[in-house]
Amino acid sequence: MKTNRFFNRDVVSIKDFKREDLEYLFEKTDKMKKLNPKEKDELGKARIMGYLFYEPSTRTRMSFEAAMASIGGSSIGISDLKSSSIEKGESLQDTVRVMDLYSDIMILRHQLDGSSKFAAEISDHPIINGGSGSEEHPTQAMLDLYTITKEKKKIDGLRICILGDLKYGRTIYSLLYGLSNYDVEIILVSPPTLQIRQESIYGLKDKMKIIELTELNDTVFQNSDILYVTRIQKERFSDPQEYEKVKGAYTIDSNILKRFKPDISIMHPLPRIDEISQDVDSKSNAIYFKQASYGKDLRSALLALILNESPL
Amino acid sequence: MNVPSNKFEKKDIIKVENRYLETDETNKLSLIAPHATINIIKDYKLAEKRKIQLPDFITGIFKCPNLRCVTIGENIKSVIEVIDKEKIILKCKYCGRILSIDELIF
Repeated sequence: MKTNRFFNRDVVSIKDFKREDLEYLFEKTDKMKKLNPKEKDELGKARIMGYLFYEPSTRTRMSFEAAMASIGGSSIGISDLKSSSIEKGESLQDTVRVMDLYSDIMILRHQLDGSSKFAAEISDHPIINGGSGSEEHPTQAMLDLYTITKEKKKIDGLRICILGDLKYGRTIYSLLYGLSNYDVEIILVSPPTLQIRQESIYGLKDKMKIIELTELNDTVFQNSDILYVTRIQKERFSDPQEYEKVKGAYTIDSNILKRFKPDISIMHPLPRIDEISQDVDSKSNAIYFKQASYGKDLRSALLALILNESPL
Repeated sequence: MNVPSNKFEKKDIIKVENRYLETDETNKLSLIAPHATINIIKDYKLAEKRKIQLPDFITGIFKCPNLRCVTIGENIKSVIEVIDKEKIILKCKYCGRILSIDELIF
């Protein structure tokens, strides 16, 4: 029997996955959507997904739970730290070890960079990084790339503008690492204080063209195929005054939208605060809720592939 | 100590007594003294002359300077990967931060 390439693997960083891995996952995501409920049920039957969310989450946790339920499995976990021994001071190490005893696969979101890497080393079962500090959020990037392939039918040849908090937004880094597998041009737009961390994109500029700007201009309006907007990460500012200075720095509303190419697709990992005006939601360019819905589909396929040796 | 040196005109010498240093231990010196030579003296005679080489990983000596790194927050032994031995570019195994020697914390 041929083993699928995701079987029993940790998903710590998207850098661990090549283009062919990602395309395999997208193909299986499409295939999963065509399975009937009974066929899906067999993929996660009697399996338990554990989750540890040290930081708030809406979509990631809910979509993983929904994904696990959709393949016939169940979920246990901690998302309210006050109701667990973490509140008493239990270490990440001990908490991960215990959750590993009770589950077949674990989703970890933690405020420290490298937390998932460490958890993967000490656990027997696969770990999926559900967001680690300002470092990475690999499954978000996987579903972002999947969304682009669904909307644009390709990734190669696209010009992608990423706008907002590029310093602290972990989804951005995973997205850039994932996009570096493709022939794309990247335009990064952020306030000067929230520009991309150069040390975290080491080597990426050799793989793809990256332009860095501090404001939206005609280059962005006329050239972008995708506008990926991100929230200013208030929780990662040590100085609240610094946050006040940059919040609301860029807002995409229906007036600004008119300046972009008519077929531009607007993406956002959500949650949004005020960076995309609600009057954009009804436009065909706005694909961020579709993007969120793909989260469940892709995570179902990912869980099924990691938990089952045979390909779907 | 300013001992005469053919190659550099002057050099310093550090003497460590009653302790045999293993190769992986002396290799760690390469981060702070990449051109150092190790002379192993046994019974007053030169037993071995060793050139040092950067190891692939440096475990537990330096701290990652990233305060948000799990090795700092959870007090875990650091592992620094040497990803470019020519330019001496380092990377924290856990948080992935690219580092220079100057950034490492003892």
